[in-house]
Amino acid sequence: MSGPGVEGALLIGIGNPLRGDDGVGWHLVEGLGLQRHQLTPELAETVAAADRLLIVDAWLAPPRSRCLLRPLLASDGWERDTHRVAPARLLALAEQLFERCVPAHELLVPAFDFSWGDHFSPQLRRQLPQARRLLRGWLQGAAAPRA
Amino acid sequence: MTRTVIIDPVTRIEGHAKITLHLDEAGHLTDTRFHVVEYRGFEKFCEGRPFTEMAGITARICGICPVSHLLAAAKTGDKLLALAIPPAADKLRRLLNLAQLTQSHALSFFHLSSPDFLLGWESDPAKRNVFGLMAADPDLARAGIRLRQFGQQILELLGGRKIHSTWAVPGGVRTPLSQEAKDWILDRLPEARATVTLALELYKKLLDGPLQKEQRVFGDFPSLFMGLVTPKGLWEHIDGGIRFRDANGAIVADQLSEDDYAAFLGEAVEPWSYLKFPYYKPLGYPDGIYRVGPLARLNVCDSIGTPWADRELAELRQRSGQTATSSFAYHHARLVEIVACLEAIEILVNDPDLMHGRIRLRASLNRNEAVGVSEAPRGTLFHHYKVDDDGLLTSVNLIIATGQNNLAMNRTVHQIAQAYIPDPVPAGAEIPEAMLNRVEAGIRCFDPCLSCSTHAAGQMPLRLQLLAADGTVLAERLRG
Repeated sequence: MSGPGVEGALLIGIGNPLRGDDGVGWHLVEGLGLQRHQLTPELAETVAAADRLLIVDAWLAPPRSRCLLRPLLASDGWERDTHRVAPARLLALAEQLFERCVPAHELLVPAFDFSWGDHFSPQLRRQLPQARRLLRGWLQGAAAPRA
Repeated sequence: MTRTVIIDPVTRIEGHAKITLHLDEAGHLTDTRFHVVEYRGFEKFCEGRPFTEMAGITARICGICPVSHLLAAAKTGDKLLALAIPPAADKLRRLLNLAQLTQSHALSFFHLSSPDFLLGWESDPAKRNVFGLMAADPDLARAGIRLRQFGQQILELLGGRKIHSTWAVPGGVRTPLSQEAKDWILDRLPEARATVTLALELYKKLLDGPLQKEQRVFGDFPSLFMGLVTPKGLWEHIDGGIRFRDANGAIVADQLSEDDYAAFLGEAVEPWSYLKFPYYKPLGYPDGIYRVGPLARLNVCDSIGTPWADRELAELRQRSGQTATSSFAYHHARLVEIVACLEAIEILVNDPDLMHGRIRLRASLNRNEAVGVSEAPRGTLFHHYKVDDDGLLTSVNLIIATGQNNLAMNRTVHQIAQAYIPDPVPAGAEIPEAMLNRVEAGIRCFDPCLSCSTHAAGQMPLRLQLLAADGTVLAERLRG
């Protein structure tokens, strides 16, 4: 079971597309990768099959933050909630269960409004061009392109 | 001063709940209550919507069992249209439900319950979960994850997505099964079989060893059991008639129609929980306590009808009684049902009818009221709709599996608390976490889905409180 990817790249957009800015992960990976409300342990195998991974998520960021593309390192910290897995934990699971250490990054997009609806706040919309540039750069192979 | 222990929220279940243990002035346990504290009210806000939307709307009740609502809503819609769906659509819906049962039971066994069995009731609660299992036994964890994935992938192959599919509709289904999907299912079946074989071997060893006491005290009491059976009394999950069997194995009622559910099921309410308390009406409340779900389905049927599953059913009955009365046997029943599902999936996938192109019939509204039923992973699910002449809903009633187990869950919690909580509880005593975990685990036997049963949004935390007679919280544990 593999997700749609670009030359071995796996993109996963996380969020709820019916909760305003929370849907930005889904929006950015549309047609490029997997769209999920949350990460679950079952995704570990899909991650392990990829050459590299990008997780795109909304970010409750400090004021005046800009989009952030940063390396994601595996972490085997414990979690109580078995229905969702933190990105770092998912990477650790891929390594632990399927013996693949996958290079990964996460693209965090500052989000402002999580109320009901399938539209983005004006502040988030202003972030989208930069988010797309970062995503394109990652797809082209640059680990952390300049915004 | 009497005291109460409160477990709030209950963990590793689908939904938000708490458990309270009430002590009298001498510290003796007097009462236990499993409270469901979430509410959303789907039945009300569906009113005014077209009945054709119900499959899509009610699937949103839950991310764990959307398929069950999808199928119950589609079946209720079939009856409003007064049509019999094409054989291919019927078999495709069956395949969907079998996949749903498989993935849900795999989630319950591997992710939610096996950490207690395999890592130990006293183990660190922070690691007593599927992630701890992954560290302790990665092969088993990987197999369990892939078994659940097998079921989920069939859901996606049929419905286009793993959750919240709107593939089943009144009159049939939207799309057929592709040859590629059929080949994928057949290719993955041997691995799924191997995984459930592994799980059964492991679980039976635990039953013979460290889990013997749990079988005796985790909700072992007489009650009725309810589930669907075929006209010949075989295990059924989507059609057939409703059967009640008592703890002695006697058939109390058989081949009841879902249309008449109001004649044999009552719904009581208690002021301390949003979850209703359904009961078997002829015996009244609360004597009409009954259980639904995997154990009930295996108890009410005469046999399953496929060879491997029938062998496993015979062994379950040998171990737990011809009519198994311990709620702990739900875990074993889930594994037996996975076997039944895998055998049924293989039969269905090789059935030429499945690939037939006629999968949906269309009709106008022909009735103003209908009741649909199906077996969700957690038990029998009823959807009851009334519509006006334009097909707009005027009344909706949903009777959910977890609600039907409410009386049994409360009795199970009480029995476990009696067995594991010191009697009397010394004043000021701290109750060990492992004891409280067993109380929680009594609820997990039923694998309750509180999101469905209250039609509410789900979180998975648990709160347990020890309360004095005057309501003072004397001890509290919070997880989640």
